[in-house]
Amino acid sequence: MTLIETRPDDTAEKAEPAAEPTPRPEPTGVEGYLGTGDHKKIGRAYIGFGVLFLVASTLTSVLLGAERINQSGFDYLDTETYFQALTLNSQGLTFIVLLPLILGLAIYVVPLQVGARSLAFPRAAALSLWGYVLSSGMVIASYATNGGPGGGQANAVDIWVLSFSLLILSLLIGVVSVVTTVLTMRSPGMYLDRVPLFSWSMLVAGVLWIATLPVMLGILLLVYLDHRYGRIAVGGNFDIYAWVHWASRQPQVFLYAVPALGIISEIVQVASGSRQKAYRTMMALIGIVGALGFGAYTVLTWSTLSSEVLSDVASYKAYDEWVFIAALWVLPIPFLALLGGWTSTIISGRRRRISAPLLYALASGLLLLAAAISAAIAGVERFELLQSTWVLGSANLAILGTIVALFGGLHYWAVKIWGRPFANGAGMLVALVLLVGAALVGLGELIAGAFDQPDMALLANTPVFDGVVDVSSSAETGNLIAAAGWAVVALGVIIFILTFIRAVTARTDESEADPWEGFTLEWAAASPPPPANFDEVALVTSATPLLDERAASGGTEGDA
Amino acid sequence: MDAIHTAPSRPVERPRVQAVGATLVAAMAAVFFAGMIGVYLFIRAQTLAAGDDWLADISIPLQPANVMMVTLLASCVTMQWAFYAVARNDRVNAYVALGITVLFGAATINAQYWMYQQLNMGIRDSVEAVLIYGITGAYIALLISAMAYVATTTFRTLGGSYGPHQHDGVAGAAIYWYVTVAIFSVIWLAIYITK
Repeated sequence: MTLIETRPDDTAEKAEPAAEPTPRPEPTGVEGYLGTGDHKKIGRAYIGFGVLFLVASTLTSVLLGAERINQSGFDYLDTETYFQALTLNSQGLTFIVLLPLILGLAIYVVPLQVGARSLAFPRAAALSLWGYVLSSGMVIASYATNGGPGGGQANAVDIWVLSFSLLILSLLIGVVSVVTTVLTMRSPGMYLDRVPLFSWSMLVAGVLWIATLPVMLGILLLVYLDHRYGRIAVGGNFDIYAWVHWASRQPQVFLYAVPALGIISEIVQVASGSRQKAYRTMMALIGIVGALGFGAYTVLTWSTLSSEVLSDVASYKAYDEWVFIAALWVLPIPFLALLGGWTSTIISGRRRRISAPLLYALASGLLLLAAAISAAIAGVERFELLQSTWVLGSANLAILGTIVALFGGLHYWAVKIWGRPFANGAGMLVALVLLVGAALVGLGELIAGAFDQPDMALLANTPVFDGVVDVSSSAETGNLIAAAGWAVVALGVIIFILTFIRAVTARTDESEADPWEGFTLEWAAASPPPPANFDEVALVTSATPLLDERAASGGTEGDA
Repeated sequence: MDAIHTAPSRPVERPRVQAVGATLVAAMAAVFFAGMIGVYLFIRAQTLAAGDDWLADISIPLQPANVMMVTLLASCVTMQWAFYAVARNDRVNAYVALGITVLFGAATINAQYWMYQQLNMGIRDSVEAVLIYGITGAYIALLISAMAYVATTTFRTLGGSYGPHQHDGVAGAAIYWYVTVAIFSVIWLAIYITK
C-alpha cells in the first residue's frame, strides 16, 4: 500500500516550479565559426576567404602581365612555371575567388531578402565553406609541388585534379542551399515575380551553374582515371587544360556575371529612390543573359581550339558551330536592354546624389557591356579571334566587371553584414580605380589580340614553349597596358581592404539599420540581424515592401 | 451556406525544402553523367571516323546489362509504392517497399560486379576501358548514395518523422531514385546497346 500512497510532503515539494535553464552563451571567435550553421557567419567567412585569395590572384596577374610585356623570352618565370602560373591564375580567379565571393554574398543576403529565418540546409552550407577552404589550399599546394595542368610531378597533377573536383563540388553544395532557399522559404505573398532582383539573379545563376559545372566534375573524373592509368584517352599532363579551359571562356564566363546584374539592379533602384522600371522585363533579361551564358556544350569546341592552337582548321570548325557563334552575337542585346532599364530608373528617380554603390554599379555595367560586345566581335569569322588574346581580354572584362559589382554589393550591404558602413569617399575612389584598372586590362589584351597575339594559356600548353612569341610591337604595347591595368586593379583591391579594416575597427556608436532607405526585406531586420533574422514573418504584397510601407505611412513616396 | 462559413481554413503547407533540394542534387548527378557520356560518345565517334574499331577486343555481355535495367525499372515501382504507403500511414507496406528498393539496388551492384568479371578488361588496356570503368564505376557510387538516402528515409519513417503529415523527405528520396534509374537507362543505351 505504501507504493500507491502519496506522501504528505510530496505536494509541498512540487509547488515550486523548476528554474528555467540558463541558455548557453553563443560561441564567439574561431569556435563560433567552426561549428556554425548561421548563414550570416558562413557568408562572412566565405567573403573573407574570397577577398584574401583575390589579393593573391591580382598580384599573380600583375606578375604574369609583366612577364608578357616582352615576348622574346622569359624575364621572371621559366618554361615549367609559366604555364602553371597561367592556369592557376585563370582557374583560380574564377573558382577560388569569383564564385566563392558571389556565393558568400548570396548566402548572407538571400535569406534576408526573401524573408526567411535561416538558409535551407545550413549544415550543407557550412560543409560547402570548409570544403572550399580545404580544397583551395590543396589546389595551391598541388601547384607548389609541381602539379596542376602541365605539371612535372604525376602525383601532384592527380592531387590537383582531385582537389579541383572537390572545390567545384563544395561550391555546388552551397549553390543548392541558396537556390532551395529562394524556391521554398520565401515570405508569404512573395511570388516569384516579387522576388528581389539579386535573389532572382542568384536563382537564375544557381540553376544554370547546377546545369553546367557538374560537366566539369565528370570530365575531371575521366581525366583523373586516364592520367593515373595509362594516359591513352585524354592525354598527358599538358593535355589536361584543354578539357577545363571552357569554364573560364565565353559564353560560360557570362554565367558568372549574372549575379552582378542583380546587384546592379538593387543598387540602382535604391540609389535613384524609385522602383526599377519594367521589373518583370528586367527579370526576363537577367534570365536571357543566363540562358545565353550556358556554356557546357562548348567543352569540345574549346578543347579543340586549345589542343590545336594556331591551327586554322580548328578555328574554322569553331565558327561552324552556329549555336556557339549565335550566342556570342546575341549577348550584347540583353546587356544593352538592361543598361537602358537602369538608365531610365535613374533618370526618373527622385534622388540625384551619386553614392559609392551607384558608382560601382555603373562601372560594372559598362565593363560587362564591353565584355559582351568584345565577345560578339570574337564571333565574327573574318577576324579569327577565338584563339587570340582577344578572348582572354573579353573574359577578363566580364570577370573584373563582376568583381566590381561584388565590391559594390559589399559596400551597399556593409552595414547589414558587419554592422558598420563603409566610407563613401573611399568607396568612390575604389570604384574609379577598379574601373580604370579593369578597362586598361581589357583594352590591353584586346589590342594584343587584335594584333594576332595568341591566347597565352593555349600557346604555353606545350612542354617546349620557351617564352618566345613572334608578335608585333603593337601587341607588346597592348601587353604593357594590360600589365599596368592589373597593377591598378591590385591597388584598388588593397584600398578596398583598407576601407573595410577602417570601417570595422572604427570606434563609433551604433550605425543606422537602413542608411540607404532600402526597398526590400533585408532592411527591415536589424544591422547586423539577430540569429533568427526577423522577429515576425512579413506578408509581402509587392517587390518593394518597405517602399510601400513608407508610402502608406505618408513618408517617402516612390513611383508606382 | 453555414457549412461554407464554418468550414476550416486550408492548412498552411510546409515548404518543400527536402524535395526541392533532392531534385537539385539529382539534377547535378544527371548533368555529371551527361558530361561523361558526352565525352565517351565524342571519343567513340572520333575513333570510328578515323577508320578504327570501337570495342574491337572487348565483348560486353548484354544479359546482365538488361537484367540491371529491368531490376532498376522494377525498383521505381517499389519506390512509388513506398511513397504511397507513407502518405497513407501504412507503415508496414512502407518498410517492405523501401527495403525491396534497397535490395534491388544491391542486386544491380552485384550484377555490375559480375559484368566486370565477364569483361576481363584491365583499366590500362584501352581507351574504351578507361571510359567504361569511369562511367560505370561512378554510377555504382551514385547508386550507393541513392541506397543510403533510401535507407535513411526508412529509418526516419520508422522513427515517425515521415507520415501523412510530412512525406516531403520520402518525395525527395523518390525523385533522387528515379533520376538515378533514368541515368542508368542512358548508360545502358549509350554503352551496352550502342557498343
